[in-house]
Amino acid sequence: MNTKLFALLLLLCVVLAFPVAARKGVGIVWNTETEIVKEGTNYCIEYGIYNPWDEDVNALLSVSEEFKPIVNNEESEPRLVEGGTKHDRAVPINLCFDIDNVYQQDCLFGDFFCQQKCDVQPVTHEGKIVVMEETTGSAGMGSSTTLGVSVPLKLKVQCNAHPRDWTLAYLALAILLLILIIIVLLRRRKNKA
Amino acid sequence: MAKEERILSVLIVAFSLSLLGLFIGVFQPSITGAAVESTTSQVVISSYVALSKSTNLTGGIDFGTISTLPVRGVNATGNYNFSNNKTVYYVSISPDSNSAVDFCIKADAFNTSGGAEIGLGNYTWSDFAANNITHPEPYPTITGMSTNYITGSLAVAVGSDNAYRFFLNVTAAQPPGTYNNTVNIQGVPTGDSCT
Repeated sequence: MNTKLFALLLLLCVVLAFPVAARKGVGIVWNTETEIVKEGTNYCIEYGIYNPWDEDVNALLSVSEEFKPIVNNEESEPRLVEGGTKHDRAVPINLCFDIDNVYQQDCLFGDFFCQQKCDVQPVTHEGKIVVMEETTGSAGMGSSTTLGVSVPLKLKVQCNAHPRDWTLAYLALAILLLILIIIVLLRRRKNKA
Repeated sequence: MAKEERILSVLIVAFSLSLLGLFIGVFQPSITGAAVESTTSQVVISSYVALSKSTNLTGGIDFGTISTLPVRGVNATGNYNFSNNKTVYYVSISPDSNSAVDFCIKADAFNTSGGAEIGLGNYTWSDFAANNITHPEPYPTITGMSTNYITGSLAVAVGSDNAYRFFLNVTAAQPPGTYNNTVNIQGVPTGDSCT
């Protein structure tokens, strides 16, 4: 009896001395580090957030300063990622970018009759995509800590070369000629009458 | 009458040509094409990395109460676990990752709510991809904190830990108070930079 009690106490001591510390963390799944994007378009890239550790975590996806001016729907709300979420069941998050018209066109009048020769250096936006565990306040005294995983992203803006656009001139000419044709037809009808 | 007919004919021809020009201008991109048909091959290679702070690192880095100044190399309370002399500050790379990790660290101002500040050069740290009494290096380490990321351990393997120790120097002139800040640790796929 005493031996059993002793063994039980010993087991209890072992369990108390080595508590199992539940862990939580964040992970990111990415399929690309370089994308070729068209100027003047909206472009989205999908990332995955996962948490293969024990506890649920609120994770936050953000972008580095370089991308701030062109990101239009950064997922700023934290996402709950359940503990035990492996990379192949990552929570998908779409990150969308507004790509400006970055290449100067050669136009004859204002924004009309333009051509694009694409004889300039390609424009590239480089930065980071960061996933972080949501911070839950400071430690009280000393330093609180944050942990993040960041992955690189390069957006190469594609230049679309095109010859001078005379569409507006043709349209104006067609309208003018149509008016003249109508005038001539009306005059002929009047003369016949 | 014949003259009028000729004018009308010229106008109709010119109108037709302008419509043709308009049509070509609008639809040019879609009517150009290659005579060779091609098919594309595609493969998507995914990368994935997950990190986790140790329980003690999650709880923050604490230097306790310092009552005698000046002091140098004050250990953070978790620098040496009493039972095995390992640090209890570490970051783990999940086995569910497929890239080794480079680590970086930065901090914001270490100050009191009243504005007194301990310079980040006095807040030093060391890290290492092993954890024992000599690694990460004990004081004096030469790396002071910075508001910009500083690179630490490189190419830490999947499934491993990156351990940290933190130290503080306080000058005699430092005003009393409770000093706080936030230390940011970031992991990047090996070969990439933190900035």
